[in-house]
Amino acid sequence: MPEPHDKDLVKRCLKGDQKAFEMLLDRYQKPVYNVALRMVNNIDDAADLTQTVFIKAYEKLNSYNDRYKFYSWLYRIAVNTSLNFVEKNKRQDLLGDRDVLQGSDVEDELESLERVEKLEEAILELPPEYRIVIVLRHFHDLSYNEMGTILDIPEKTVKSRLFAARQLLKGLLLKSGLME
Amino acid sequence: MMEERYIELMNKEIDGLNTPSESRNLQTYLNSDSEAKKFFDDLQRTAKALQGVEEKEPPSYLRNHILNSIKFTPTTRASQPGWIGQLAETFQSRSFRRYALVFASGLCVGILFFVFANPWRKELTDTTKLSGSMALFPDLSHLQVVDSVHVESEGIDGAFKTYRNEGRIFVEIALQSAENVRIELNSDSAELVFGSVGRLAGTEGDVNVTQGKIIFTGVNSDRSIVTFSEVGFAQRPIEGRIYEGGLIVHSVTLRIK
Repeated sequence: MPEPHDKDLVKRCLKGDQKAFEMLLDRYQKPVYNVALRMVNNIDDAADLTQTVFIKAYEKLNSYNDRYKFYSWLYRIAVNTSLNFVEKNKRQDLLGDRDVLQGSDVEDELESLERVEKLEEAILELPPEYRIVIVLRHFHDLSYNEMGTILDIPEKTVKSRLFAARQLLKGLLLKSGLME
Repeated sequence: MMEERYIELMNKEIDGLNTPSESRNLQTYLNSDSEAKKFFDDLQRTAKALQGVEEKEPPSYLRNHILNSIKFTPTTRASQPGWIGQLAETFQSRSFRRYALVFASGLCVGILFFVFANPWRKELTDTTKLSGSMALFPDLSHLQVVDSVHVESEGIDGAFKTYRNEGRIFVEIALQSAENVRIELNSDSAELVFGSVGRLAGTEGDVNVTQGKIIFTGVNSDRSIVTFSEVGFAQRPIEGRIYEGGLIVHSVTLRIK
C-alpha cells in the first residue's frame, strides 16, 4: 500500500485524526531534530525545540497552504524557531557542551570522532545565518529553491550566502588543523 | 576578484548541479588560474569533510512527549486567501511578478487619476458615499475596555483592546515587532460596518480595507484604532491575526460585548 501523501495527512489531521499527525511526526521528527541540533548543539535543547516545532505546526496547520510542500513549511517553522532560540541564547558556550558528540563508545573510532567533533565545532562557530545554509544544503540536501522558500530569501541570496558560508568554514577548518 | 559566474559554477560543481559543459568551462578557468584552483580545491575538500557528519537519532522519549503535549481536535480549514491575500502573496513570491504588479498598479493608478481626479472634470465626488476613511487618532480614555488581549513571543509584543460606545466598536492595536508583520482584523460584515482607521503619527505600513477585513501590512510598529459602526446589536467577536513570513504567528479573538 503506498504511503499517504503529506497533504492528505494534513487534511486528515485537520479533521482531528491523530494517527495522521503521528505519521507526519514519524516522517519528519528526525530531520527537524537534526536542524535544531546543528543550530543549538545541545541534545535537550534540540529535543525541546523539536517539540515546540511540532506543537506550533499542529496549531498552525489550518494556515498551511498546500500550494507549497509540507516539509518546506515545517522546515521553515523549525528554522525560525531555532534561529530565535540562538538569538536569545547568544551568550551560550557553544563549545562547552559535548552532549552531541558522544554518539559512540567504540574506541577504535576515536580518531574519526575527533575529526567529526572538530568539524561540528567549526560549524557552530559560523554565524547562524551561514550555519543554517550549510545545515540545510549539506545535511538535508535541500535545493537552492527550497532553501530560499524556507529562509524567505531569493535564490540568488541563498547561493551567495552558501558560497560565503563555505569560505568561512574552510577558514575554520584550516585553523583547527582539519585541513592543511 | 573572482568573477560572479565562476563563483556560481563553483557552487554548482560542489553541489553536483553543473552540466558537463559548465563543468568543462569551470575546469578551463581553473587550469588557467592556479590561485582559483587552490581556492576551489579547498572549498571542495570542505564540502567533502561535511559528508562525515551523520544524522543523529532523536531521544526515544521525544515522540511521546510531543504527542502528549498536543490536544487533538478537529480544526476548521482556513479559507483560501481572498484576492487581496493572493495579490499580497504574489507580490511577495517572485520578483518578475512583483515588477509586473508594480507596473500594472501604476497603470491602474494613472487611469484612476485620469478618470476621477483630473482637473478638467467638472462634477465633484460625492463624499457622502464613502464607506470608510483615515481619521484622527481618537481618544478612548473615557471608555471602558470590553476585551484586552496581550500577545508576546516570536519577536512580537503587543495588545489588542476593544471598546464599545453609542453604536460604535473600537479596536485599539498597539504592537512592536522585530520583523515586518501583517495584521488582519476580521469582523462579521453583517453586524459591523467599517468606519475609519486612526493611526498615531510615525506608525508604519499600509492599510487595506475589504469586506469585513482590515489588513495592515509592512508593520513593525503600530498604534492604530479601527472604528466600526454596528448594524443592530453586534455580538460576534472580531478575529485578529498576525502573520509573519506568510505564517500565522498569533491568532486572537476579541469580544465586543
